[in-house]
Amino acid sequence: MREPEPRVIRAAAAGDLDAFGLLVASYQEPISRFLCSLVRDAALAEDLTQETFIRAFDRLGTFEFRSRFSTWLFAVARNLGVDALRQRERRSLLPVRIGPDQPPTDPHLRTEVATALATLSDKLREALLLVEVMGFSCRETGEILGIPDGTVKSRLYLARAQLVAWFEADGEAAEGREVGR
Amino acid sequence: MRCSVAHRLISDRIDDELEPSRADELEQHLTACESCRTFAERLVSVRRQVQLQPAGRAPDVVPRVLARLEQRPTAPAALVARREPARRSSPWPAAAAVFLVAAVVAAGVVGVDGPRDAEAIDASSLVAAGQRELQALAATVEVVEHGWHRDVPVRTYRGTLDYAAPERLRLRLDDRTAYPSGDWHPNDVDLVVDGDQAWGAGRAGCAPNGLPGCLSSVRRVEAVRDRAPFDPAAPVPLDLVLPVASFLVGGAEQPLGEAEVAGRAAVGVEVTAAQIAPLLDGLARHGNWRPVHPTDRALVWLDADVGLPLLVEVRANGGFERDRWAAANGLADGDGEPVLSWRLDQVDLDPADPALPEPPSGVQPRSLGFVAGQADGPEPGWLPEGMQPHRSGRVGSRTVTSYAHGRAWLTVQSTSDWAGTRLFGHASRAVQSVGLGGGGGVAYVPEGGDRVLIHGDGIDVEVAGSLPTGDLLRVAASLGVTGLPVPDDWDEAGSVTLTELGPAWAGLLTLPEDRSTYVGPGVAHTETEVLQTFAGAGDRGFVISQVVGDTLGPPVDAVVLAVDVRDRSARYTPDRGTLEWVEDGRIVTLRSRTLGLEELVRLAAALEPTG
Repeated sequence: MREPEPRVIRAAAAGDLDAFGLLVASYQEPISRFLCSLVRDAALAEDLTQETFIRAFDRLGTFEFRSRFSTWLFAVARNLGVDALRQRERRSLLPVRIGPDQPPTDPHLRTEVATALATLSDKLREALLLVEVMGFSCRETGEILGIPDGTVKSRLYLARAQLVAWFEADGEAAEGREVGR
Repeated sequence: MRCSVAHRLISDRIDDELEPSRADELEQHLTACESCRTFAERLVSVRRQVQLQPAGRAPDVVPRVLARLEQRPTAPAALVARREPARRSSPWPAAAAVFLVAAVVAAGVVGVDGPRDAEAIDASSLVAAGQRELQALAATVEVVEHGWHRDVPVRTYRGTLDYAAPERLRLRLDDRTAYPSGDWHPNDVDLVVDGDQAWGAGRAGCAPNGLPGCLSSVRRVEAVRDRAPFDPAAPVPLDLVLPVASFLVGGAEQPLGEAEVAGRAAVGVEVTAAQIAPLLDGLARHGNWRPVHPTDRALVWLDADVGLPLLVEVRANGGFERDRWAAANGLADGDGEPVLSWRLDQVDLDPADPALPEPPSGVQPRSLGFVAGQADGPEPGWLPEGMQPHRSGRVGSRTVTSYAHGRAWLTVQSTSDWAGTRLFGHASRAVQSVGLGGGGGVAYVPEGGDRVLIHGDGIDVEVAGSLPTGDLLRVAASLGVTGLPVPDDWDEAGSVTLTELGPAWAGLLTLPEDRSTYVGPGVAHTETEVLQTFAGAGDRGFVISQVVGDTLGPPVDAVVLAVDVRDRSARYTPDRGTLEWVEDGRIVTLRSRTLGLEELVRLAAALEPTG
């Protein structure tokens, strides 16, 4: 992800909406993609993407150029996403969760990595997405998530191991379907 | 090397995070272990698939984000950030000030975003010290009210606030709104308290769907005379001047940082509207105003030296129960949208004595019965430093003595012919009993901690004031009245301390003192129920009821939510403000009119068993 020029950030922090518009345009896609993967609800992710930028605008004054702008922005997005997940969990009478032992049987879904990712816990999924998809380092991911690097590495390992196991189980299920036909 | 260790190191390696010292070791293991080689290949394959997953087309949010920012109300331009050096050296100094301010003001709205570098702000100490120093105030006031009616989305008021310690105050607000037609009447407001007299004028509110026809064309005037000092029956809205009731106890303030407001150094805190209810109630005592939800977020900028409420911005909170409330009240506030703002300017702390007008001619003030003179009640042997005698006298057989120091005040009331079946002075059923020490017997502290009540032999006393509960207790202990336990047939007879409850109630859930920002608990009990009352800053407060039982009764209300608390399922009933669950053979109910679901869930998690 390309970092914006500091003068654009400063202009946006000073209230220049044109400058802020440039920041939104540069980051809306990765932020939207991250949130969509995190909350697994496109409409909610779209709302959260908007909210991320509104809050980022409100808090730009606290950005002190000590970290990358993208790290800071993703921390805002991630916090909103996690809040939304918590709210949904609290307010859902029947929370629906696909367990790792339930690989999808629909052949169209079988290849969908998104389905595999959905089997991960929120904590594992967000760490994996930030490193694998968004290209953040373990240290930056730790900054975004507010956890030590070592914890990020552990989560990455667990996420990957679970995905490997899921694909293996899915492969076996697919073989079983072939045999049964 | 064990395979489980190798797997972990393989994962580190694909992130370039493998420690060099372990690279050789891993390589050797992989050479020898086919299963780990397979794992490594699969990890790479999985990574590729994750990275190549179709992204889908992200919606373009730029126009909507910018439109939302452009539609925001203009923030006061005098508020300029002091904390951020990059801004001060920014090449966009003047034109951008308004937006800059918006960013600063809104910065604290977010509860959990990113690292918050503002330091904790001790608003409690600020107002405690400020109330002793404040002698007088003159300032202009601007109030902006959003969402009152769909045809009048914004109402703007300008006026003045004048104050001379301890109980002379005038608030005047002129409604400057451009209404759609002459059928709408402006919400001009007057409020005057001048020692033993007070009056206020405004048009009373009416149902939103009856507007504008239901608004009276004349303002209603309420006037009283013979007002006792700091009489709660005609209160002086002192929190408009300095929000002691809102901040003395200390609530759940989130620091917003420092800024300059109205040319004065200010510190910002974010609280809920419930916490600043004493301030908001003072503003809305007369006239017609939109309601504010207790969970709405209030960004309060207090004068850094004295604690004046220089700028208060109330924004709608999101969430299920708030949305229901808004719909029921004909409001359409979305999460984060402005509700009300209060702003002081041209602040003068050494003004000329305020001119306090008499009530309009023809208005007959109602007598509240106070006769100034010698009170002959118990006198404190100890007073906080600087407290000086203020007005004294009697209301019927009740003696009233008052003291003040700046805006800080204290009253001692007593009676020798109390015939009630509950404590003299205002008290709820669950009061906290406190030993006065030194043979002073027992005193009772009702919720809120702003009063101390004593039932003595032939005398009943109330000590009240804007001071910390500890100071009120010390004053009470110095009166020379020995406090007795209340008679068995009084309402407060079931009041005990948690430790007095005995083994039948062992393991009772309560809020540990070190985690509490509330006064209490006041405890009442029966054979089957223990009730604990906690009161916080402003109107914040909650009750914990614990009843012997192992199942929740069927829900009474149509709308209930299942919520996880303390690793078990709980039921939240928004219209009653109750969160209920069963734990260890007891039905636990947390109840609050001022805390939303999220705060109740946090409180539930913080409860711990006694003993």
